[in-house]
Amino acid sequence: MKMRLGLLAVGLLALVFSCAPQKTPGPQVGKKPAVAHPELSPQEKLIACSDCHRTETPEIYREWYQSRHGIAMVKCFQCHGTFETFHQPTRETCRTCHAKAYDNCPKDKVCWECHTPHAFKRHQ
Amino acid sequence: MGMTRRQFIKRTAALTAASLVGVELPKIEKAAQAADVEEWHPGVCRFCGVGCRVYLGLKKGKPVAIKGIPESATNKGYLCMKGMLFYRIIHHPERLTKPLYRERKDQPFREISWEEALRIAARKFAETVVKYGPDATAYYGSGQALTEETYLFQKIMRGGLGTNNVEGNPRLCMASAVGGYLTSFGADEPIGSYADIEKAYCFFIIGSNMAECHPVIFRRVMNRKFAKPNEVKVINADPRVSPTSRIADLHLQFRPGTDLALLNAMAYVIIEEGLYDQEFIQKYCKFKIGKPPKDVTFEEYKEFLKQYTPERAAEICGGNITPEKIRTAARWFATSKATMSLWTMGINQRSRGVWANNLIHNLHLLTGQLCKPGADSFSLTGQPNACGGVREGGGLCHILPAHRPVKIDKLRHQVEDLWGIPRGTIPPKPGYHTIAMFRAVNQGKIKALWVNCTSPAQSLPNCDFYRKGLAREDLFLVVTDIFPTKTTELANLVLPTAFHFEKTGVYGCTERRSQLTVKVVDPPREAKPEVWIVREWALRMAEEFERLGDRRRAENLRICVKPFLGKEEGYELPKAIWEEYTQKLTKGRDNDLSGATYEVLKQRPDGVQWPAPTKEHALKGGTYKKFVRGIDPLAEEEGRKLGISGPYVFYGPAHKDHKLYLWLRPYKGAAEEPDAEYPFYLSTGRVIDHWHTSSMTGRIPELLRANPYAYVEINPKDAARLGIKPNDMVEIETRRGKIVLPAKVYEGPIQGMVFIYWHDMAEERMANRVTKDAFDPGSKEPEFKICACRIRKVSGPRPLKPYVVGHKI
Repeated sequence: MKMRLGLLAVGLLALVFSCAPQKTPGPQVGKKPAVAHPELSPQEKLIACSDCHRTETPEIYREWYQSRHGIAMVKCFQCHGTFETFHQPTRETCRTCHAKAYDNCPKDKVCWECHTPHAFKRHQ
Repeated sequence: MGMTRRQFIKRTAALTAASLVGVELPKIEKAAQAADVEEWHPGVCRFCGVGCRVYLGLKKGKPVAIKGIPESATNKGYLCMKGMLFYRIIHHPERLTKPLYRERKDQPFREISWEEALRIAARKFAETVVKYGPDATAYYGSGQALTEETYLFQKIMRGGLGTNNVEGNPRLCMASAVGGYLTSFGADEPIGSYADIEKAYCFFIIGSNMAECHPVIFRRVMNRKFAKPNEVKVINADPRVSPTSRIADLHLQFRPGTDLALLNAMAYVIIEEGLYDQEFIQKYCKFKIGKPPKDVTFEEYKEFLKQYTPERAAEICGGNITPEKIRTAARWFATSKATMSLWTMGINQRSRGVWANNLIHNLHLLTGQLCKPGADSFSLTGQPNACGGVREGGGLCHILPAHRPVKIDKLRHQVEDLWGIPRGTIPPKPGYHTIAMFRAVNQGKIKALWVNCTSPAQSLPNCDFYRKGLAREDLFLVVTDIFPTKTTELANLVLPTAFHFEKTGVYGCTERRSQLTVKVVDPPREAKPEVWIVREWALRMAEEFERLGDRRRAENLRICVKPFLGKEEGYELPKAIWEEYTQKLTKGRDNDLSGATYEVLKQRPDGVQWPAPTKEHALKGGTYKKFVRGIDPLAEEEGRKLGISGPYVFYGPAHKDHKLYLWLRPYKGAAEEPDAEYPFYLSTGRVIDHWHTSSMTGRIPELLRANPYAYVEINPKDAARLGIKPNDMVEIETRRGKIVLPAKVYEGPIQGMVFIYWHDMAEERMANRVTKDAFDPGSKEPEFKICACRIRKVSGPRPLKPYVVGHKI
């Protein structure tokens, strides 16, 4: 029972974090990411990101899968690059498909300050 | 394989922390290249038939990015992964950049000059014509070639050499749609447009995985559904549950090939429940049966449909089909404020594809779900220029430019007169259709073949059989392409061509929309636009015919290219070809594009939809809906001429009575059905990340990795019965051959059916080695979608390597 409550607390904490608007860190060129992806063999690089992330990062996967991006099959690599070029998207990444929003939205914010990452359900 | 990676990741507990938003992802090393773009140039996407508008971004003259054009009527700015990444092809290191030649196919290629290459091609074709006759030569083109290219190729073949052996890969994908439109509506191509999507209340998606094969149009359907979730209904009818099914309110999953019964049963319900539009039928429709067509009455049609009660159809269809589901689908279809049907290869690539098309059209005619906003019977096109270039430009063996059947003397002579060549030059008999053409190659009847911008060695059904013919030493094979392919491997002469944005020309997409892409970068090294190659080849052929004593052909060839002499190849030459085609050939035809000059196309943010008989009309975008007075200028004009009153004028050239036809088409299964020996249905199709044979998309790392090799999808119940687990290697055997693929086990294909992706070039995984080359007797389109196979597990998971001809992975 205690264990379950503990898990629930962790889950709720995660939920609070995930729903909170995130400020974008300023440019930090060369700064190491907080979490590194494990190395992959050439063979492993030929597996779609979502194949593993379905189980390894289920919340993100679920958010994406149920979003308009997920239904329209906008895949991980379109915003985040491949394993070698894996990165945080920029405003320019979004401009590829959302040029009008790029021009109309505030220039001093990144898109996901208002459009929840992966879910894109509503303005925050 | 997957398990290895899973274990790898499991060892890294830190990764799970990334599921919390707030984790810092690495910044892109360089600021996004798009931010540094110096110039954006408009054009159209190189891939599917949607016709998405794109800006190509250049930095110091080099392509660095693509973005969608938000003002575009086709894609509203959205792009799929292929569209956003194709700029990488432009300066790809594996591009073909020099003409390559070998006299014999067992020799290595050697680089030669363009002059030598053109001379060889000219001499071989001219000598073949003189020795064996013009029908021993052939051209096989593509729905990806620009309209100017297809038009010029067929002009040289027909007007210069005197053969109708002009075909193209749209025969493999769109021919049944053409047959359906001509026989039902009297005119090719859809009446409506994508603009109907935002006005529709019911979508009937059948035989189409739009989510992957027309992603951006699917997105518009999805947005419409989400905007009015309770009002808008989506029906998805398909033997395979696909990503498209995710937005469906009703999924009808039937045994492959039984949809003719399903469609007839929906018509039965519509009539039985009195949901038909009597006024529309009386005013505009006729009922037809058989060949030659015979008129029948509405009562006879009702009688015919009694074979297709929902109960009977559910028995035929199997799967999850119940009488009630059929009734629901029919009711939604008939009673919605506006119904739009959408279909692709699941309907077309069938031995009864034309009939299947007719039966979809029947539902629209019965219910009057046509010609009004949001209502249309809308065939989705696979390729970017199958409609514009091949269907309209005369790129098939039985049609001349602007929808003129070859066999009609008056129309053939019209073309000869417009080209200024003697009457009688173009033969009255259609040439070989695609399968007949490659069978003729196999039989040694065709001695010189030019393949442009397509790879039949991989894309033909039962391709091993046809590769034998392509490999014959007595066949001189020219291939024009941008990359090495399975077909260049069998060629004598490989000519490097310019890619999209490296040349100028028009693509005409699914909705009758012609869009111009202007050259903004130079092709690599010695690659050349096809229009230049054809013009120069024709001039040298004229010299060869002179040498061989055939003055008539020499003269005809010179006449054919005369309007294009001395024109700069990057812009002026295609412009001159487009002018001839639109101002002379399309003028006065149902696809009149004479208002859509290059100047007009450059002014329009999203091209022009035909008919566009005047510049004024073209500048407004052309015609959103055919046959409707007040929208379509030809409807107004023809209505006055013919004395037809009322809002609609069906002036399609194939129906002289200006009526729409409902056809009585019985249910007929596939050419090869499963049996005790081969108990499974085999079907093939595409994935979102790859384009056709993957000769282009396979060279873009992101796309290759997203789907590096073909899989076989197997229903979990079948997999369990056969002891097949995910990623096990499975042998697929048909009466044509065997291939071995990794398994994807999921609730996609219906039980008793397996589904293969056909983009993979690796011999052991190449889908078309096992497909069947049966074809529709009317449209001659092959039945890629259905044949019989048996499957067995050959091993557990094995490491696999992607394979793309000439690509270093």
